[in-house]
Amino acid sequence: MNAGNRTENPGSSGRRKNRPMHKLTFHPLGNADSTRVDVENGSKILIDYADMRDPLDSKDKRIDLPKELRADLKKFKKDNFDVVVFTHLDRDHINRASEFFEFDYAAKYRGGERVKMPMMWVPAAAILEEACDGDAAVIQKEAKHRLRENYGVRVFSSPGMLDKWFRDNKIKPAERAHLITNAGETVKGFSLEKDGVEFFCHSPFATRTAAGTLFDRNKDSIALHITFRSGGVDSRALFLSDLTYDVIADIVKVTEWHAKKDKSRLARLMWDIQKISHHCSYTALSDDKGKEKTKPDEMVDRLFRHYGQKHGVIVSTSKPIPSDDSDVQPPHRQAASYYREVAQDKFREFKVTMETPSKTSPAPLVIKIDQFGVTPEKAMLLGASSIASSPAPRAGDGRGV
Amino acid sequence: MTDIDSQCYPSPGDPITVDQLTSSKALELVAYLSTQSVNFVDLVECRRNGENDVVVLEIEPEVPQRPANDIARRERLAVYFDHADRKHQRVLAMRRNFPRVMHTNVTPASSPVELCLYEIPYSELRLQWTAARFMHQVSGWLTKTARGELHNEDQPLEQLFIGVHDRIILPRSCFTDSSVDPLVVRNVFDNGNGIVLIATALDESAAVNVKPIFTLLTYTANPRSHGAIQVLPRALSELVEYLGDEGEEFLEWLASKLKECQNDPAIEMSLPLFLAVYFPKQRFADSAIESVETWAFATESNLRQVGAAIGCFGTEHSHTQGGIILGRDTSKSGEGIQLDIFRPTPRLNLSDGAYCSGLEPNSNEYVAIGAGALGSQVLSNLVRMGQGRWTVVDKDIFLPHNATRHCLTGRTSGCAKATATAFNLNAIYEEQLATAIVADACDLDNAELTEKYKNAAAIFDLAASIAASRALAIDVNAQGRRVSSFLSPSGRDSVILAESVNRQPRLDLLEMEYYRAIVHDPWLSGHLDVLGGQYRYSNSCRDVSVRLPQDLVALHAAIAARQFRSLDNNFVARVFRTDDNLVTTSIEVDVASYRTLVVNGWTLLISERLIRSMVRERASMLPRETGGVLLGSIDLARKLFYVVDSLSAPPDSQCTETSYLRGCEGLVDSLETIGVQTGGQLEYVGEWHSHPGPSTRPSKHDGQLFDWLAQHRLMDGIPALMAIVGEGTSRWLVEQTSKSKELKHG
Repeated sequence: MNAGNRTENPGSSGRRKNRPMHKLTFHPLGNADSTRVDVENGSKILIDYADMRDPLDSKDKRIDLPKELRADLKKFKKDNFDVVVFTHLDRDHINRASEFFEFDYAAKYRGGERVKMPMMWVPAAAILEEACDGDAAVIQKEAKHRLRENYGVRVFSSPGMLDKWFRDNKIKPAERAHLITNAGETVKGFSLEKDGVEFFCHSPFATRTAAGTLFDRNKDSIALHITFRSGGVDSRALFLSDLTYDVIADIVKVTEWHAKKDKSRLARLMWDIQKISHHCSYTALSDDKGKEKTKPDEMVDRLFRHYGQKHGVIVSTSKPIPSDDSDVQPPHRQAASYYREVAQDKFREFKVTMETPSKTSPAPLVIKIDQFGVTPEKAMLLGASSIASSPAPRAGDGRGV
Repeated sequence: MTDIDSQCYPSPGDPITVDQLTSSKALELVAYLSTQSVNFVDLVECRRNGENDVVVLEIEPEVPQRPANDIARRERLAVYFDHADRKHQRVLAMRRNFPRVMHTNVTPASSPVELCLYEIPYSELRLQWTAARFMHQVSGWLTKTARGELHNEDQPLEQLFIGVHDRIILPRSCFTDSSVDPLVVRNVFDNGNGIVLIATALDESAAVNVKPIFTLLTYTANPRSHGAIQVLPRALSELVEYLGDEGEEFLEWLASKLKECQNDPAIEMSLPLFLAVYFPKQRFADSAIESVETWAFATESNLRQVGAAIGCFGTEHSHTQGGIILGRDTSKSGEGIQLDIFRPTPRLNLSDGAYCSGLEPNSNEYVAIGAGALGSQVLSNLVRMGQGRWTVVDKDIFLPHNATRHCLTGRTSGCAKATATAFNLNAIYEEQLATAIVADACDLDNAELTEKYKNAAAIFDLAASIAASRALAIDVNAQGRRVSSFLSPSGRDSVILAESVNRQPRLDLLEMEYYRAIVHDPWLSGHLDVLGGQYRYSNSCRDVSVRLPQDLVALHAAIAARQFRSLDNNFVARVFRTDDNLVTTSIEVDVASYRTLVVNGWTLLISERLIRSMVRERASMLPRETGGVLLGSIDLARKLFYVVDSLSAPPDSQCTETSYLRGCEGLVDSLETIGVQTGGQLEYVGEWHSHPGPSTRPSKHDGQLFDWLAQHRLMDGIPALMAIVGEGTSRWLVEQTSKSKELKHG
């Protein structure tokens, strides 16, 4: 602190640049999903891709997803996502994916500015479903192509689910076993020790009926539990796709059942971040919306209150929460009331993608994950730095977005 | 009352409307907070408190799930704006249990914590201040504090007393280990914005003539781990309280110290007490002591009064009349002794100088010859960079005209340059790094000087004297490498010549190679030209100095210092040239090795490069003979021939298979040019010619030639030198008064 020494301003928030950190980025897309997972080791994983923005509507506050993702890849000098996860093939999870990614099976989906995906993860339904069209058809064809050719795909399934398809395609199931992840397994190729990240598959799964026979349910969606390790501290994120309350309740039951033999299984229900199912629909909590607040299924309630960690973050990938019931579509204010209550309970936070940081100008919600646990980013942008980090609007464009 | 209200101190002052704000910056902040695109911060209200507008706001900083410090997800802050905009905005964290973390200003326990946001003065910050930047700084402070990252791990442990304007400069030892007790405060400077005190050892020679104004006692507390102090002690009793369990121990120490002082005639009991407390600090409870935090307090009470207040002396009204009472009255713990806090600042040492320069400290012993224009400035550069402990050797007196290009000022006129320069160097740091010897560097009868030479890691010649340089290279018996730096007469160029650590090649040979380079390298043309002319500074015929500007001396002094501190184990021979804009380029001098022959009591130092060139010329003329003129330098005092270079056979030479007759066309001109180029340092030293066969035995003609040569050289009082180069061998002849002797060299 010599006179004239002005090197350090104690309050300077100039972050230490380029320190690798796990990061989740939820994009404001209305009632739709796309989350980028940045792993400390430099891997990039994209969970769902739904480009929803109407380019002709200047008031559309949904983000220009392809532009945003490309800019990020460019910043990291990458031309691919290490993994692209399509949790299921509904439009709000895959919209315009066929325009963005490179698909190997047909020449017209190759080359140009298309972003490569050396690995795609799909649910068994993406292979088995019939009569797909549009983006779903393209993803399905690609997944089948890769499965046949034995590369670049991982199918989330339950045992035996794909056997018939293999027989029909004259493939021995054992020769594709390495491309299959069954519910209750961790995904090969990532490890906490080496990569600082681990993926555990909760769904699709099969439950046992009372008679003891396996019964396929909900074969159509991937539900993931991700563990991040940083500085010796583990943080956990739960991605529940669009599952309904009964399936979520089953996940809790099945996992707790397994935990009777293997206590460590309980960690697969713990979460510091939960991307709640189905854009804050009451159907993820109960079959009854409720008048002011949805009363959740007992097991679902347990997942939130018991397994949710202090200062955890609940993320609703949805439109702003409405103040009335005029729209039957989610988000539902009654469900939001429940989530807010859960949030208050242990100093958790409830974040809605189209309300963050404000309804008037939503921006990607970034959650950093490191030895201090999870931290929702609250960067207070300076004028100059926000100008430099986004292209100037085209002069004379007239839209003035 | 909301939740957050109940957790917070009441907001200061009275509420006002936005229109009633006086401070334009407060208005700017309110406008910023109401901007739609500004997130995570909300205006609560505006208030007025005395000379300040107060903007109360609530901010959502970025707080991790498991924060390192207890920063809440929503914090209420009160921002004070001085109406006259003279000082930093004060930012108070209104939450009652807001943590007293690092980078907070020291405030009383029952008042809000004040964030310390900036270290630069407000007068500078004001030029850049915007509400957005200000809020960015606030948010950054909270976010980083929540992560425990505001104070980087590699940053030194916390310095307190931000905002304390009064300073005391203490010896360096006070910040590393317990210092020598007692110190005295002698000098006070009042610069209008806080006072500065200087503490020195009781017997520090430079200061003993100044009357002390405080007696300073120093106490070393038990080690404690890194962290902010909670409350600033304002009285001795509060300090005792702060020390907790250690408080009683401290009082006992103070009592015994005061008793010692009373028995020490050198200490005046009537001076007020100044107290320095050292807290050895660890980063964590079990880690090593990393630094010492020093607190310094002035009291208005003299040593007797303090003694009375802690119960070791009787009060002045008691029957003991201030005398010692047996055992301390433990009911007293310094009540009524007020403390004024001072910001302690260490004096620096050589290591600090190196640290501030981004260098490794170098405490080797060196000898510098010459404390003139270049020397004084090179030494000043090196010492400021923490490079070396120096013996400064110069016999000259500093005269007024020297001040134009010297570290010293006209005030030291009449002093020996060495003495005054060393005095100045010693004033840079607390540490004494320089010793002066007022003597001729060549005076090897001076025992003090030769002792210094022996112990020096290097002897740095900055005297620009060829005699001194030669003596250093050859006559001084010491292990340390010799280094020389000097300016060209115009000041445009400078030269660095440094022996390798094992003294290869010797400095005199590097010098010869440098002269050769001046002749051969067109880049060095005009190197020794005198541009500025000379001027007379007094009326004696030797009172002449060259005219050259200080900016050139400063530049080359910087270069020489950099060259010296960058020396590795290898030799250096390098010339620097500046243009009119002081842009500098450099060349490496091509350095050949030398062989040594002793012939007739003369030492011949012969360039291997020259020998190779003679061999080449001989071969190219075969089967005929050839030859040329040898160039070099002769040191008659030391009986040395430096044989450096040659001129090829002049065009009118006659080269046959049996004889070589050296011509003379253009020879005089060439020699004259070389003499001018090298300032007379390279000159004619002899002749050489080749024999076609292996024999180098002088023929009859050769003998006659040598005699002719000897007769001519006799006129100069210089012996003749002749070399004969045959196949694979050469023979060198040096004339001895009566008959020649020769030495054949294979």
